[in-house]
Amino acid sequence: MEILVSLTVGALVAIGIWMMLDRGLLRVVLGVVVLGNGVNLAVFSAGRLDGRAAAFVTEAGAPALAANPLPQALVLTAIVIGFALFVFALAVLKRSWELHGKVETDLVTAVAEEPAPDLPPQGDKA
Amino acid sequence: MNALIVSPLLIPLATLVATLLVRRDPRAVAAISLAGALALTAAGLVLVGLAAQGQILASQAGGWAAPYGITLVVDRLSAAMVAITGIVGSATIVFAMARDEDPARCRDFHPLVHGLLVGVCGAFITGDVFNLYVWFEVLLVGSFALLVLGGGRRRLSGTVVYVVLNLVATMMFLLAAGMLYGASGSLNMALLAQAFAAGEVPATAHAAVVLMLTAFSIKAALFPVFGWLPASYHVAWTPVSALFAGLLTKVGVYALIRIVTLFWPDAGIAHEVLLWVACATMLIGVLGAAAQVEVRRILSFHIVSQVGYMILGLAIATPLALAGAVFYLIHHIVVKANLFFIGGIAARLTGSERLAAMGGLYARAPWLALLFAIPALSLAGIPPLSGFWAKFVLVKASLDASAWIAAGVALLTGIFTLLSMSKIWNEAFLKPHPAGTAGMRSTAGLRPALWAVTALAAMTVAIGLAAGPVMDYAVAAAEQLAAPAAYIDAVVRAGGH
Amino acid sequence: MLASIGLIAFAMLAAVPLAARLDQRAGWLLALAPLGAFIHFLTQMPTVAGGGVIESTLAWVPALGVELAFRLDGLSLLFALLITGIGTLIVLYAGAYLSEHHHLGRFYAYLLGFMAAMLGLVLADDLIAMFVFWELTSVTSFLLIAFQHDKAESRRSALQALLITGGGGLALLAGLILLGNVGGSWQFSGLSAQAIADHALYPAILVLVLIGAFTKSAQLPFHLWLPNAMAAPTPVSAYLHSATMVKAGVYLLARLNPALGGSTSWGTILITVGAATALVGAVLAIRQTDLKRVLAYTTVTVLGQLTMLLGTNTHYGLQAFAIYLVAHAFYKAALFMAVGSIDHATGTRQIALLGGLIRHMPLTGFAVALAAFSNAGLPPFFGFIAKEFKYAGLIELGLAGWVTTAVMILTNALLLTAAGLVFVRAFLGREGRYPHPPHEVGVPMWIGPMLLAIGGFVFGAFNNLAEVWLIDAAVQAVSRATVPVSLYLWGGFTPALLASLLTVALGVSFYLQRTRLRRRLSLWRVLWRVSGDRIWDRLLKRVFAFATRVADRFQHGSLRQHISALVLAIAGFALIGLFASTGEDLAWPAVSSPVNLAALLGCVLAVAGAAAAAVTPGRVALVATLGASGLGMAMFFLAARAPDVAITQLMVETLTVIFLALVLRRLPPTRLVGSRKPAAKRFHAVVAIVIGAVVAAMMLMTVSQPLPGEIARWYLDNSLPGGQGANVVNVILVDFRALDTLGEILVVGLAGLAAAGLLAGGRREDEAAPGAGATEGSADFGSVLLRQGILPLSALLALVALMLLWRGHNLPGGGFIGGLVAASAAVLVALAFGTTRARALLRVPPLAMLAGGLGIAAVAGLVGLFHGEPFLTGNWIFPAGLPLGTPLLFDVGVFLTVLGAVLHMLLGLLEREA
Repeated sequence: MEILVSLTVGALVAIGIWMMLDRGLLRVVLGVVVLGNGVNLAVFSAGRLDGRAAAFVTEAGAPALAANPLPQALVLTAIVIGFALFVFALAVLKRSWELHGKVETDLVTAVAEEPAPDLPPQGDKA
Repeated sequence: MNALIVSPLLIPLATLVATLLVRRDPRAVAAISLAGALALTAAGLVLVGLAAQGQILASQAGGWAAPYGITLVVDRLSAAMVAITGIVGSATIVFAMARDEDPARCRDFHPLVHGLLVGVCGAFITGDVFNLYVWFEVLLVGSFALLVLGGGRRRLSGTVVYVVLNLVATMMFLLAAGMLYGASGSLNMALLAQAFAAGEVPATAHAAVVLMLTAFSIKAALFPVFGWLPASYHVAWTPVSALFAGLLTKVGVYALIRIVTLFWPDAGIAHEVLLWVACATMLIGVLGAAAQVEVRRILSFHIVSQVGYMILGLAIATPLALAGAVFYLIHHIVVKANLFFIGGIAARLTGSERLAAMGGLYARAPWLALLFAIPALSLAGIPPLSGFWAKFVLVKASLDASAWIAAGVALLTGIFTLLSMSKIWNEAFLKPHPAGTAGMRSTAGLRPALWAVTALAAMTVAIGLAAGPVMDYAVAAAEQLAAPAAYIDAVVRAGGH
Repeated sequence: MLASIGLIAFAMLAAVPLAARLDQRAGWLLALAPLGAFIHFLTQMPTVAGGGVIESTLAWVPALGVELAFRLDGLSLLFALLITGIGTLIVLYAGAYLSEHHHLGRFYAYLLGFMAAMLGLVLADDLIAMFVFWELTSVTSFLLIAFQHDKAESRRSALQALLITGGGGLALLAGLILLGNVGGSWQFSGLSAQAIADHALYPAILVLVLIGAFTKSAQLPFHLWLPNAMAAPTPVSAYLHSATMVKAGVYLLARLNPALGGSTSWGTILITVGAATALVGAVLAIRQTDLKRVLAYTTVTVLGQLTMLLGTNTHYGLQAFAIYLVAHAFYKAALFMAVGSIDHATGTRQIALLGGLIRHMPLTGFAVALAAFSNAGLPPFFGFIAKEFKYAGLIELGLAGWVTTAVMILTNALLLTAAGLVFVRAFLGREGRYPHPPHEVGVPMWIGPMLLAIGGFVFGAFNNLAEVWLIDAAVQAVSRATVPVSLYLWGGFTPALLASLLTVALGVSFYLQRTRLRRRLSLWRVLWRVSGDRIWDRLLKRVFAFATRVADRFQHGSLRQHISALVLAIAGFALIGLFASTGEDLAWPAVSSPVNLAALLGCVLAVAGAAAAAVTPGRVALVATLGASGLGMAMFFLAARAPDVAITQLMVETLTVIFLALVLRRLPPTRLVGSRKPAAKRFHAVVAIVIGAVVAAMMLMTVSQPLPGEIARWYLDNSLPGGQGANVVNVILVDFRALDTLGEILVVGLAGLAAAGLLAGGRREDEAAPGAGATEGSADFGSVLLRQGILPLSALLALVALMLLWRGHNLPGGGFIGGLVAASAAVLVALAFGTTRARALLRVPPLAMLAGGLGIAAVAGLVGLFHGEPFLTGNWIFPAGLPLGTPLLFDVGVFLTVLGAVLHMLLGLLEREA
């Protein structure tokens, strides 16, 4: 199981990075999701995979082979954070399509390296 | 005491909530926001006052003992960082009250700034690796939101680079935190430090720490992973880029200092690597800056180069070197934020931030020239301003440690910094405006911005002239860092169920 | 001592306001400051001449051993008198010279600032304090050179001076630090010459200190900034760039002579560099056509000679050093001021245009005559004594001295020629051709040259005065052992006198043959090219070109290059970490749990879905494959006995798809996959595989060892008794590690706030009228039946959400999951009935919900603080045996924040899309 999970983590990370190196910005954003899934899986598995019962306890105590609850809590946190970041990234994607009219990654990012534009002429308000 | 430790989190959090709730009234938002930032400063100064006496304050959130609950811990370094965060935050908010042509002045600015401050302060006071990750995420998402504030093609383009690269970094941090737990069974920094010192952790824990430090290095903008910084800082709204320039990379530096001093207090291969990284960062950063022709791009590359100085202190790791790193952190936050502010005012007055299109400020706005000269000379390490002491200590520490190359690089970087600063001075200030006096713009509505800038410049002068007490504090902070036993002890004694 | 620096610094601060009110008359007032300091130092003369020193110390940075230690000995006193004395005259002069200038106040401020710094420099006993003042003189010099800031030439010269002296300053800093470490003291007066001489670092210290001193004092090859610095107004040239600042380097050498001067290398370097500088300066001087530049190059010459004299370390040499220092300061300041006056009065400084000025400017002319005689080294002027002692000092050295003497005879002859150009050419002979008719200048402008020129005569003629009060104490301070000092005009027929006579003869013939001489010199093209500014320009250009090359590596603007570089760096460092920490003993899995079929399936699905998403062209397929991948993740979590995580993953997956679907409608199709060029594609594949492999390896090595520590067990054991909850994961989230969760909901809230603004199209909220853009429901949900079905479904979902929230402490669920489910319910309503309806149903605006949720979570944590417990400590009450506690309240906060944030984004997005 450990080998399987490690390979899965590696594969998800590799695919995620590959997607982030894509020409289209959409796949870059989705790559973040895949990469995040891989990392979440890694964090989860860091608590080991020897649990035979969910981490619920009763008055009598915890099951002897209960799954490690700590990484579960950590991953839960990470999943929600990842979702929030994904939505933001998606929002950036949408907005840059609206503003740039392109979704080709390098064309969009090259704009930031253009020389700074002059400030608009000062209006009457100043 | 428990309340005091957590106040750096709660004050900005409460301010954030309050500004969201009253957002229909911009004046109230600004007033609450400023009050919150000032309160944070006050809390930070109280913490500094306590920490100066040598106390390490620790509290276990939820009342659960380490390693089960999350540790909050404030030593001299943390306290100083919180105080300086409050100061720069306050300055940013005051600055943002100035009239500006940028459309970014929307209501979200104030809540987002305080959200960012929660993350920054959280990172400074937490004693738990995963909790540190969470605060990194808070400040990261806050910075995303602030960076893109106001929109525009260029800004969005820079945001894309910033967001994607920082997401990679943060994922790696999460991965490293998970692996560190998987290898060592703990997330508490102090207890991990104990285990590391006792040699009780498997080798893979060290590897996980390396990965974690790599993630911090991205955040801190070290060579070779600083690419995101100069690709994005120059597109933000002025107060935002100043806040970023002051604080964000320094959170990465802080995390590097904290983790390295705790886990690997004795110089070793990691310090060796850091030393080379620091030298390369200083040089590449300053060379990159020399090539720039826009104010904020110059300043952005200089952030990179100066982070190298701080890491130099960490790499050499003698108490004096660490004191240099701490002093550099404090000095740099103030100076760098101020330079971005002033760059913004200069651009606002000349109509551009391209050096070629600027000019005439020396004749037109001599007060701005003076205000620029102070942080600029400080950045270049000209005595008796704050930057001189920072550089002096680091060069001395390098020479004392026979790190000749590092000392040479640090000095060489100094002269290039001077070159860059005098380039801005010559082009933007001394040179007549290319469009003649007609090219200059009105100073109307700038008053709050000038207050902020003046206050920070006064701080720079004060840190320089009264370097004695500040240096004493930095040296004492470095002693705490160099001997982590007291830190560990404080966490263990914090207790809990 | 400190008071005198303070007085001048105060005058600096007062300069701008004073000048604004009084114009050039402010000069009279401001000159009182240096005058006061001058008088103060005069009163110290008896003590110092009697062999005493005066010390005062202020603490500064005790942690570094740096203090403001000042020490007045013979050398400091000599410099202090020159600085304040000439300074007084210069302040007066400047007021008249720049009377029309609108930045006069600034000028005074810089000038007085420089004066204070220079005074500090020569008085400081602390190495670092001296360095502080040293750098300040560079900065003020920069400001003064660039004073006429609208001229590109001024700006360039100022920058050049700053970079050269600043660069030297940095070397000096390193040298001083080493010197302090090695010499066992941070004070000049405490340095141990023996310890320094014996130390292995002596050569390094020597080189570093000499670089600092040579750049400041314009020694070869750093001399080029000094003539360019003549772009500054003439009072500055007179003061900084001849009488004082440029002598700071020489001062430092003199100051360190006792500590460093014992070695052969010291003497060799100083004499060689000094003599070479002197000769080159003199040759270049007589090539000039501008009177001011002539003087500038002769200053270079003199600085070279002073350096050389320190290198001799002979009795006569050191006496000559002190004498020449004073003599030169007197006559050069006088000449500079006079040239400024000529410029002021005639509008030109070109030698070819001048002549016969004595008729128009008799007072200035008289002063120039005296100064030029001293310059030329004619008796009975002080310059003559200097020259005699100089030769005597060199001859003391033996053979090397004779060679140097020959060079010096040539040099001094050229200096005499230059003096001739200034006086004879400009003031005597036929009338020049002036841009405007010449006139005598006012009192403030001729009084300075006059006093200084007369001073040169008095010190020469009554040299006993100078010897007793100034030179003796100065020489003792410079020398390594006591030197008998005795000044004289006539020392009999000595070799020195012979050399002197030779100099005068040669000088006069040079002057008479000056036209031919200059023609000859201009044939040596190569020399001028080497010594000119071209090297500097080329150097700067190279540096900038290199810098650009470096910057371009990081400023390509390509996100994909950034990512590749970043990922490779991460992989590289991780590999280093892996090998450095584990070394050879890469252990093979020690732990191996059996393969769980459902988990295996989940893994396969997750990878396959992701892989498909990576290569699928269509948008719908993309969303579907990604969804499948997420489903696989959830399946894995479920199989690994983590129901909470699995449900969260599912809910997040659902919302992800909803957001994607809404956003993708507006995006163009994504037909293209990967890169255009196969090479890039291969490279990217390599990058991805490398990082994947490294992560997999690290992962495998981590999880294949047993997990140390008992934390997991503790959580399981304490969840119910300590946290009142059976769902351990939830108890960790809201109690044990609630601080993480607080940060997490903050992330969600901030992301919601930020994304909403972007999704709503960058619209500024205050610009949109309330209700604008509100939707009336999507056409896709047009069927009445469907709508009728959705409402109860949503209500049911909302109920489920509340239930999940409530029971989450004991069963799978909790604030997150509940919030996500509730959000889904609200999304359904919004899609079916429009956002107006959805907002109405909610009653509370999403943003307020978000803020309220954060607030509630924080308040739940505060309860503990009020009881004197740490933040977030759980407080429980048990009404009717039902455990109610702040962690539950905290979970409500989580619920509200998640719900508020998701709705804030979604409703904004939907309204935009409408």
